[in-house]
Amino acid sequence: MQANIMETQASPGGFGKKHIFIVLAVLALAALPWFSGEFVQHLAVLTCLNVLAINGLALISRSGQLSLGHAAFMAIGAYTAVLLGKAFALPFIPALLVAVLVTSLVAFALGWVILRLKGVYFVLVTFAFGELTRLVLLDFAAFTGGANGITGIPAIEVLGVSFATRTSFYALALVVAIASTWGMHRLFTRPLGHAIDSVAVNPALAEATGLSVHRLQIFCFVVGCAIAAVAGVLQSRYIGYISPESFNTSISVGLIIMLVIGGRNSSWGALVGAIVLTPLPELFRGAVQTQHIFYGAALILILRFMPGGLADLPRQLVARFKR
Amino acid sequence: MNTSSILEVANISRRFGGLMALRNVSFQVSRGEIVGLIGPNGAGKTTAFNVITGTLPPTGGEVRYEGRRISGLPPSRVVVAGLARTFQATSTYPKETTAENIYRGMLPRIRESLVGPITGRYHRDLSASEVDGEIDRILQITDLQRWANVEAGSLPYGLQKKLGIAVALATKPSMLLLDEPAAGLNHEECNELARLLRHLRDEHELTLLLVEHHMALVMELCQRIVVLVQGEKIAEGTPGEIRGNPAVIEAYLGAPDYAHA
Repeated sequence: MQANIMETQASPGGFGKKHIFIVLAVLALAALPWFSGEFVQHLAVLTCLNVLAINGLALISRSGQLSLGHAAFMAIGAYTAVLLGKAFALPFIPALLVAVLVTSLVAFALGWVILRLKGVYFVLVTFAFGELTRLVLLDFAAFTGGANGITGIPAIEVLGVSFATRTSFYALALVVAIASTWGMHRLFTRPLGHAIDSVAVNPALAEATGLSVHRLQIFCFVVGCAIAAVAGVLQSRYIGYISPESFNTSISVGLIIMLVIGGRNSSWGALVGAIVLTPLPELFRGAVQTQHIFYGAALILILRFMPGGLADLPRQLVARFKR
Repeated sequence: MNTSSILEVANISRRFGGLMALRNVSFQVSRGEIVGLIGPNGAGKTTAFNVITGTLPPTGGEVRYEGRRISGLPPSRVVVAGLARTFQATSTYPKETTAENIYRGMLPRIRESLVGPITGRYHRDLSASEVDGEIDRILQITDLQRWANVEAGSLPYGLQKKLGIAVALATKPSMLLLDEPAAGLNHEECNELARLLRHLRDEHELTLLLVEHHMALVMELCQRIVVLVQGEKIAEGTPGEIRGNPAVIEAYLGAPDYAHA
């Protein structure tokens, strides 16, 4: 028997000494933007924010449910923080906390009702919720600015430290991206993560052994949406502008595509997916239409040939090599 | 109320649309007993099983476990009360090893984890350092040590069914409900199952209720047998009494000729 089963139950692509080179490569990649131009820095910031949002989505996905309304929770977080910040002149941290709290409550109320739905029905309702959120933001123009959105959102300032410049914001975004990825890795090598995996793999057995499927899925949904709220708030402060279209369904779809291509069941899936796919639309700026074709084709190819995503590639190669 | 009874099924009914799958079924199981629930196909055995384990709420009556009402609770809460179940077909986490499957059965019991509070098990009896010992103990009880590091999905059918019992034991139940534990097992595996179940009762003070088709096993193992036919209890008694009960014989073999005269 192994020494400690809780530690040895690492997820595929788990952390070991052999991964030290990967870590070094990621660190080198992470440091690169500081020595590059503004454009690369901008892409790096967007990538980091995507990593955060996708990690939230991955948490929901690993409990066995797919949310097609993830961007709506980014929107709820962003609008709450911005509007409350304006109305009560709240500093950044309190505004962020309130936004996370409000988003969690919305996710809890929604999740309590709709997490009894399975598979495609859950996907449909989250899609509808995403559209509903967008339409509410459009229609209540007196508060939300409607289709014009809200401009002039101030940069983040915490205890006198300003994150107004691109380089300083990148540092913040990088910390957040790494922290969320590390958090996912920690979670899924621990009992709670194993319980969440159990619920996704065999819900009947999980339920029969005392792992309440409903409660664990609500937990994942609420925490995943709270993470989305943080990503939404950070994005609004970075761009300085939000509108209902900043968080529409195609953003949600994009997050799902990045998650699936990166790897749904790996702690590194969000990181890999965001790094590979975030820069692409920007590089294809001249041909915005082909970008969607590329996304779609990549998604089909991955689902067909690599259901575990890119993050699962090393393990697959090793398995093939051993055979 | 019988003070030694651990499970009381009181007048439960279950209706599916116009079909009464269960009609006012009552029986009790005493602590330390092995009770069999039998009946021809369509008798409502599986419905009764699902109502007791919380998979289905009853449309009438109630189920009490250790004096507490458990009907209407979801299965995960019924387990917390001490009543664990196994599945008719195999049910495992196929990509995980045997040991890891057992470990997953005890997750809500681990003190240093949020699993218990989130899933509603507030009484946690296992510290993280005791987990490996507990897994070994269950591997030993079920005689699965040799397969500890084998992926559950690649185990033969009989061993997967045994693993199902092991995972149920990992929840630390005081009573085990087994849904056709002998289905699909060969003669030798069947004998081993009977040995295991008897061992669980004698050495681990478990109470057992099994829904079973395998008559020889039921007659050999059970102290009492409850017979369901078309959703109603038609007989209850020792294997000897059941074997000689005309109503049971009629249900299984059809009415004797003179009944048609």
